[in-house]
Amino acid sequence: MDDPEERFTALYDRHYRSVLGYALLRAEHAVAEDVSSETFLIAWRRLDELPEPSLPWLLGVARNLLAKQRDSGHRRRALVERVAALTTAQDHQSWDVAEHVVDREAALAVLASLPEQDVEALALATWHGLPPDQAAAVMGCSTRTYNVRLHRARKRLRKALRAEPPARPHPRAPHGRFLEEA
Amino acid sequence: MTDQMFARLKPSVIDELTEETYHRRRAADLARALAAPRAAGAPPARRPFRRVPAPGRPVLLVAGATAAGLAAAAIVVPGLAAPPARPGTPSVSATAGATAPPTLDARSVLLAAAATAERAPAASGRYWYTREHVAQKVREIPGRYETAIKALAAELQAKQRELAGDPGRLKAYTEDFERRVTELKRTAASSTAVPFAALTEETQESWRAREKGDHNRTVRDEQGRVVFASPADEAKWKRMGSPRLTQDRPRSQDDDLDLVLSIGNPQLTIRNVSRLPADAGGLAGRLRELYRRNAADRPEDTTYALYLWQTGLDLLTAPITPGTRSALFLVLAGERGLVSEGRVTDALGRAGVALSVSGPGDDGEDDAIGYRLVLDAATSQVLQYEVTEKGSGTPLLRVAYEDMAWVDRLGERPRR
Repeated sequence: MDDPEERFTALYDRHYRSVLGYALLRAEHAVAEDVSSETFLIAWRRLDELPEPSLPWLLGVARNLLAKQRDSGHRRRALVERVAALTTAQDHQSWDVAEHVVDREAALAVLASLPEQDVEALALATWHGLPPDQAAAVMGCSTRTYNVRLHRARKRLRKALRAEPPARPHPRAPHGRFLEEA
Repeated sequence: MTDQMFARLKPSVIDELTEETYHRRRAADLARALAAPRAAGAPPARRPFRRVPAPGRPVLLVAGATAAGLAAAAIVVPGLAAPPARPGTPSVSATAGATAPPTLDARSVLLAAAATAERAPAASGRYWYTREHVAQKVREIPGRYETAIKALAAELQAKQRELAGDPGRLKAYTEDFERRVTELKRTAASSTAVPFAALTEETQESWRAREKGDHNRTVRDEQGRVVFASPADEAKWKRMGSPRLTQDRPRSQDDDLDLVLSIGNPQLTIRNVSRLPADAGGLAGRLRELYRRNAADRPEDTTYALYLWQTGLDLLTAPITPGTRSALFLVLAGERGLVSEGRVTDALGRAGVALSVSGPGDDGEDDAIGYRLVLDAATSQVLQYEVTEKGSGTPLLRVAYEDMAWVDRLGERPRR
């Protein structure tokens, strides 16, 4: 694997889905695709400087690119808002099957009340499976700061869910427009 | 508990979107990146390249044997100078978030296609199915030459009987007869034989048996279609009395011949092409060896680039393995004698990249004939090839491949 083309192709094949998945939670599909392409173009230019593991580095680049979207007219969307937009009937079904104490909308509404960075800390740990030091690298903060955010997010989420009255079943829009109701 | 619940909030559509997007974007993303300059930084000692000891091919470099003893090929994309390194941790380039369509050069597209090919599943079957659209330039009025040569042959037979007792006059007549046949052939093949530019087009399907003795089948349109290069060409044809340009022939034909796979390489058969090397270094070496061994079977002035173009086409339309296909793309990308034409559209409206080479004409004129191969980077398939006379807008031959796959029964088409 000394050949740069081979190394880069392997990097792309291994991590493209993760990078796009990360970007999709922060931007519209077309923008997320462009950000992912750009992320890998930068990775190619810096191939010899890439740390191991590379995924946190790639997500960090994507995160910086997404932050720039604010300047270029594509408004970056809040993570919870993107989750709502991407939610399908299938998600509602599997949620209901799992018999959670609150329904999906209520859980999202709770998330929406948390600071964006706290939700992101939780997402990096839970959805992307990154250990604290790697998640901290993505967010560009110290491991200690990251751990504080993660802890705070979990605590607030637990508290809010306990305080939330049991939700009544109600009709759902296919793409979860419930945030406006919440 | 909180984490588990949170985990389930991730929309399931994300995985579908990433998978779909990955397959759709991969070829273009890789090509775009590989075409971009890299920051300098790789210490030269890590890449112990040496040149292939063959003249005229400075592009394909074969990596020195690795610890595992495997030779891997690396391609140097021409025209790329390493810019100064920009050290630092993750940061954003000046072109961040740019959405301008990337300009792709054919070589980097080929490199990406090589990687795509490697991922395709290997397949097998009893018959190699091909569906192609064949367009050929009208170079003679069908039947005209046959009629004339039959008349000459009948005259010869009559004269042979008539002059049976007069060897001197028969010899003189025979010499004159041969001169007239040569003249007839010359005019039939000359550009003045057909004063207009037109193509006959037909669709052809073929099933080629893997095992010796099994039947091959070819199915084609009973009559081709004629496409004139311009209304003026059609008017010229009408002034000639609108002679018929297509010929009737059987729609379906079976045979049990063990057909030649690659005219210039008798060693290759439909049964053994799947065993060609799957690494670029190994394949490049094998092709060089075939080129040397088969020198007697081709015109002396065939350059290696032209040989590689033709053999590459023969292999890309044959049942080679995904690994060999990938290696072949790397070999093609590295052959400097093949000129990249960048992005083109084929006769079926499909986008691809073109690789071309020129070769001598029938009378040995330099670069009189152009050969072009159109390849699809997204699927690593050959889309089309063309053979064109220099200075003519109408190709002598143009074949667009619509489908190619193994099937198990004669007459069966691949399921898509």
